[in-house]
Amino acid sequence: MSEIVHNFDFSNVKGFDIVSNSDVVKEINEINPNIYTLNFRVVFQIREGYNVIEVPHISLNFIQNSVLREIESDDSISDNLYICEYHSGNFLSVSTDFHSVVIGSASIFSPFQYDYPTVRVQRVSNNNIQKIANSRFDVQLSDVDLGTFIISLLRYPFNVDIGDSADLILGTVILSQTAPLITSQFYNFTLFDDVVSGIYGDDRDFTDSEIFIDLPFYGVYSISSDYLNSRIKISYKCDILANRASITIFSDDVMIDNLEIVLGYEIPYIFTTKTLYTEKVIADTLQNFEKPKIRINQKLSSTSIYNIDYFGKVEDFENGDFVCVDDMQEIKPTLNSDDFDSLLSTLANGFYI
Amino acid sequence: MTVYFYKMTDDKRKLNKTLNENEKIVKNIVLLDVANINIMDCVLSSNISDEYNYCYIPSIKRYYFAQTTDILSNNRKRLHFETDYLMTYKNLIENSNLHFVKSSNPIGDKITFDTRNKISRKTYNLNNPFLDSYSDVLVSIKGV
Repeated sequence: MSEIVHNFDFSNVKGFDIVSNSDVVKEINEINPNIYTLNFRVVFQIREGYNVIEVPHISLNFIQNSVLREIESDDSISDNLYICEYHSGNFLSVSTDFHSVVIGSASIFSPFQYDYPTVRVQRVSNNNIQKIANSRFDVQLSDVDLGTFIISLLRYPFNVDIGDSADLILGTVILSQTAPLITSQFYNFTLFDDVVSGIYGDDRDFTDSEIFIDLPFYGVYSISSDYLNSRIKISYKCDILANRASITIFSDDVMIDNLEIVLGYEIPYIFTTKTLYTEKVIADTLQNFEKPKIRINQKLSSTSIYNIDYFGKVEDFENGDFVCVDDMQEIKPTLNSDDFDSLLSTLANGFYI
Repeated sequence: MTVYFYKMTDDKRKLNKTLNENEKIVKNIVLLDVANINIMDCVLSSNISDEYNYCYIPSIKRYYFAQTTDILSNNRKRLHFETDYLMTYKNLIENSNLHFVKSSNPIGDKITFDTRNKISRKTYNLNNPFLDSYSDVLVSIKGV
């Protein structure tokens, strides 16, 4: 004979679904009806995309012969299933006054917040920043500079992934404001992934060519012309916790260089001036190019050219590359001296039609 | 002063340059440092693409190359232009009798190599994901 003597309360469990629950079952020993057995088995499943913060566990208390008895669940994990169970006991007398505590929490917080439980990473607003600045030396909150609990306040030039809101906490002081927790430490961007070809598209491109790449937050970067006519890939991997970004440049999926840069802007959190925080990022125009490019400068191959001694008009030719002088002084009378000198120099340096 | 701005991809040494009228931008601008008509500066809004690197001023019938660009505050930029003599005097060049000293056409019999630095330029645009948005991130210590 068996009966359920206690129902579990799962209100403290976060981020897990209950797959099965036997509750607490009391069974009477068939041989000796004065002896009881207690059993329970609860199976939790972590929600998709969540990370475990506290493994599920059940504590059960009851009075036996005026003595408080405590039973702890045996816990096991199998394929994202968290099993808490208890199957034993020979209890001569069991009260009906059961109490249980069921714990277990999982969150969509990123693993890095789980790995560093004392470090909190949040996306903050202008109001949050002002609250931080105003509260740092508030003696009612603390008699220490709460700024010492700020590792960094950084402005990143992209949207970060956010999850649930949580209190702003500096040390042990809760600032009565909330801000969303950030759910990812790393952010990947691909700035380019395509074939970069030279003028000719053949071996001639490897000679007398230069490749310059405008890399945001780095500057102008030069790579060898040997990489012309290959598939160039430029990727940024940003670590917002370390404020570092790794720029990797590939040629046909082979890494040719890796550069480390700083990506976020430090924001001073000691000021409360609104305008300081309401302006958009003013990028350093020297390093954060508005329209970054891969630029190829290539010296064209020498071509054969003929020394000639021909008098005539440009319209005598359908095409060609020429060097001319104005021996007949036909141009000079129509121009001022500055333009005449400059035009003659241009013609003497060569032009083509 | 009315100025037509163009995207120029032709080599500077090409006599008859191709101007894409469909992408032409017409602006009224104030020329700066106009002491010399062969060079000029003007200030434009930065939202005009850097690809607009060539211009024509109809009132003085002159063509100019954008040589350099300076980024200014308040989303502006200053462009420095120099005269394109080939396009500005194209008709005069075509119709005047000239002395052709060298040519790529095999008219003469003395063959040499053209060693002038003829540079071709080619560009590929990159994505820039760092312009349109930002996030302020607080990294703090709790519970100490």
